[in-house]
Amino acid sequence: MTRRRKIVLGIGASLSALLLGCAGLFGAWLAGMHIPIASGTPYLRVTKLAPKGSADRIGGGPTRPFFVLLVGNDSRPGVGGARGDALHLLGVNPALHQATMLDIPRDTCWNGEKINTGNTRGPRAQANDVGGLVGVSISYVIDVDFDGFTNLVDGVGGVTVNVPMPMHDGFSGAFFNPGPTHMNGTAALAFSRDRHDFPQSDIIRTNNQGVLILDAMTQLRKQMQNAGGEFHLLMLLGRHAQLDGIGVKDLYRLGRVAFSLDPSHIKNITIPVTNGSCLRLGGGAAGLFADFRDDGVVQGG
Amino acid sequence: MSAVVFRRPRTFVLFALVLVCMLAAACGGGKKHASPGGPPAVNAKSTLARLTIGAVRVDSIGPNVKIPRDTEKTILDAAQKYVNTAVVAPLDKGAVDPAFASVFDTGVRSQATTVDRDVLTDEGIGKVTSYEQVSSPLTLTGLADGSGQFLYLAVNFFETVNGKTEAGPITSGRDVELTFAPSGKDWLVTAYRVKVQRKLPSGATTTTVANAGAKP
Repeated sequence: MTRRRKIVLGIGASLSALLLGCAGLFGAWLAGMHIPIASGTPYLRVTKLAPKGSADRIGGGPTRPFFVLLVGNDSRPGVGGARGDALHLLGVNPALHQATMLDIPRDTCWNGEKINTGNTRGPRAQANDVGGLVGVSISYVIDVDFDGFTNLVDGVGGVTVNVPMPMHDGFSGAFFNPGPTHMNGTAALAFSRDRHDFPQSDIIRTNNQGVLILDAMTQLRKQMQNAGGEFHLLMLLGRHAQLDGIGVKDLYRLGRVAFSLDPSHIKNITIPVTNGSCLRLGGGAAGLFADFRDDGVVQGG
Repeated sequence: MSAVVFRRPRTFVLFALVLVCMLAAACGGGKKHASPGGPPAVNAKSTLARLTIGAVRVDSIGPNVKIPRDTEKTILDAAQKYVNTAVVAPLDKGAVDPAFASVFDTGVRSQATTVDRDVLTDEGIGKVTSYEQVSSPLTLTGLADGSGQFLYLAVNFFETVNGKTEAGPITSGRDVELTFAPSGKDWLVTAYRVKVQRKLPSGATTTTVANAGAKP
């Protein structure tokens, strides 16, 4: 067989295979099959922890409070382990239309070790630890790493954060003046990581993360004032969220409840801790947790 | 088989007239029994506009898809059913049509028929002597899952009523968003946002409700 004939036969065989493949896909389409397209890169992971059925009713019923753990883990190229370096526990009370967010410093002691190590065993273990510390049963965990956080913020068009104090930190790359500042993903990550600017280090950083979360909620709430905005955000989540035990319909229900709340009325409270490398709970923590766990909302000052 | 033969033209004309009258009676001369999802039952002194679809937008988690024509029609009929049972029926009869509740799924039905009823319906206005009801074209928005199946379809429209009661003129403007989810062969309202502004002889009011229920 001549070289030319071989080439012609090869091209013919390739074209035939391509044609057959296309015909197969077309046939499948004609038969009513929906051919899924590969989802985008996962930005975050959403895990439903409550037993199947009860979490669908959002914590057991429309009027009962439920708890969502937001985790920012430190997984990034060169750093494994995915420790829960940003831990925020959101209590939502649908009946009262109120919520409270507890910011938990990563070095808080729990069972003799820093609480952020729980996330290295997965979101369920992290939720068990934080739930054990505060005394609540957590229904959902939303977990995001450095890249995911950056992509997520960029995916929603950035976030405007009301920077509470000057930041000039070369370690995190946070250089901000106080006041409303529109941040892309990289800037928002720098803002969330800055601890060297403050004598209280991680305690202030943890509170600042809470500020960013509530400012982001305010922005998203504006985008979710109609079904079109809701569907667009759900599409982003559907494409970029790894869902464990939860579906897009659950996210829709949760979103409707969460964004019915006015973030400016959500209390952002950093739990009291003592000094040290492994931070013990400070005075007032027991009362704060008791106030929080009965209805998901801290009523006291 | 034998053919009918008219030997005299007058007999043929008489037969043709009878035939035309019978056809007219069969096709439209009788009393209308409009279903809640069908054409609105028209009050003798009312003007009604049937809903139409305007802009359409789809967000899809998976492949690019279009809303099938028959699904569009189902949603249009369901929205029309809402207007007929919640808005038109109270103006015509003084009460919400019993089929109103069947527009909603079980997650929101209880709220829609009780605490949100005053905003969702014109029962508060009651029977009027004459009215004109118009609606903007529906904006239809859809969310499809990773396989291209539609999870939700939402309609947004604005409907206005101008009417007269024995106490004086009334106007009602309602900004409506109904989000539908499939329920068997039907699409039922699973969430809503409705804002209504009324000017009644007793005064002007603005009220808003939003509900997404608690169950998927």
